[in-house]
Amino acid sequence: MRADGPITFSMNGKRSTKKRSDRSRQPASAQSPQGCPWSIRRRAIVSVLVSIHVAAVFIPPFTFATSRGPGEASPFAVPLMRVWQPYVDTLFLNHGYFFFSPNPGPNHLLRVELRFGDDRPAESYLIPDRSRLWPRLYYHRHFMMTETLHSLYAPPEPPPEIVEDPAAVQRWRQARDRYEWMRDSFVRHIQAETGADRVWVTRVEHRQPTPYEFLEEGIGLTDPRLYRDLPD
Amino acid sequence: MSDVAVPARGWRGAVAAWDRFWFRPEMPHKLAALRMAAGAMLFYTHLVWAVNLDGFLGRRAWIPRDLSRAMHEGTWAFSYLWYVEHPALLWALHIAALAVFALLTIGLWTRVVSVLALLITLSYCHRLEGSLFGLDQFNTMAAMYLAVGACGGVWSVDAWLRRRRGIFELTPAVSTKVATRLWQIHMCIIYLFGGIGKARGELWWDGFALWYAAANSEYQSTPLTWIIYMPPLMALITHVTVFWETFYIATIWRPSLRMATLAVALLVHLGIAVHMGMITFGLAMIIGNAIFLPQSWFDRWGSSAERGT
Repeated sequence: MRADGPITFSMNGKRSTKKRSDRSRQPASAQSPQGCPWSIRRRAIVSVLVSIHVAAVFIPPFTFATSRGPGEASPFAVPLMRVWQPYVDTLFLNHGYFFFSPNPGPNHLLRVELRFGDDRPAESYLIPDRSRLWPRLYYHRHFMMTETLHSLYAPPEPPPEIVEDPAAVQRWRQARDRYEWMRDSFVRHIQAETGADRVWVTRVEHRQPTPYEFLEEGIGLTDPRLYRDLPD
Repeated sequence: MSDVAVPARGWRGAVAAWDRFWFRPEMPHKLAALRMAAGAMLFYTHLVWAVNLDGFLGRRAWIPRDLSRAMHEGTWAFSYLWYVEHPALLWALHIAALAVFALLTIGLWTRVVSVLALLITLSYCHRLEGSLFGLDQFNTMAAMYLAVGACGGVWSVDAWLRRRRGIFELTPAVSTKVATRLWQIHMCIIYLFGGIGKARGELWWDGFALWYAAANSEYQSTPLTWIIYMPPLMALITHVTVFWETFYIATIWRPSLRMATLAVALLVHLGIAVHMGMITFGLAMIIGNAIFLPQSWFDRWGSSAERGT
């Protein structure tokens, strides 16, 4: 048997088409060939490809980790990211992997208020709401959407420090448009799902109690004092 | 994994080490086990979109397709779901996607469906930007490497059909090794930057990060606030998490530290699954870590199963 040749097993108690050797009774790895059946050229090509891929996995979180804000990453990381961008985008590799980092912070929810044209009473609820959204993964999808809406937020007016900078104002305008687009899409979705005449949504920040608040003041995790409406 | 522990001397040694690391053929058992687990996770993840398919992908979507495309403007992302809105067609495509994930899980036409599973997973991720989280990053990673490696050689309908035709050969494949290595390196990079990110936060240094995770009612599924009554334990878990994540990339390759590293991974991700309501993400990362389990375990299970049949 060649070093990289097939290994014969007997399956289902039937006799194998090949004579079973003593070595085949050992675990498969023990008899795995050491050599590679691929040619040097093939290995060289694959080596280049895997290097490109590993770089594509590494560069996005590296760029993110070196970033102090949009477009403010390390001058070493930015050009690398630019080169790898098509590959990274295509394979959905553009992640920072900053789970619960740098600190586990507050959550961002959405308060929905509904008014109906008929006799139904007005409604108000928070998204995500575990009692309405099941299974848990489905709930989590809604949770991520309210977090995304928050992450896209841009104030309704440009910050005073950028009004003299046309490029910065344009970036603010684009960010604000994107936020409003998503907020209005949410409103339209809720309206279609509930049949409400009027829908209002408000971003809500829900922070955790500090250890002192929890231990000394008896503030629970869902105490109303921990919720704060955020501006639109 | 002994391929990693052998020191390389000179450039010839380095080339030989590189060859051993990437190109030593490997039996398919481990990747096949991960195919079943990750395939089931892909199936479930996409099944849940069906709870409100129209609400996520259709005309009444939270994030309509125009907005989804705008969120990817100037990038190379692509999704076939950007071009579909009709409910019947959407459902047909979704059922087809679920069928592909089911076929991947049971290992029927594995070579083809593994590639299809990757394309489908990418399309859903790009279309559903805004409602994604770590689970989707795992799903894409797993689908990517299952498409690279030969993962249907055993524990699959394909293997069963081959045996029925009298074909009993099982060949170690280089592609299996390449896929395994890519998956392992990807896991290391995830944890490295997870650790670096935490190292930038004050709460991960003063020992209170676990409290702020435990006291997060939107995540919480079972109470963990009792941890505040045990400050040393709370701080210890916080610190271990940072160090374990940051140095995973080093410790996981050392045979003497590997099982300890995996044991911490199991505890951390079980904790996330049980206490923080992210059962799917916790399980997904446990599946991801299984890529570092010794190949010999899977081979032994494979041989036992084959002898038992």
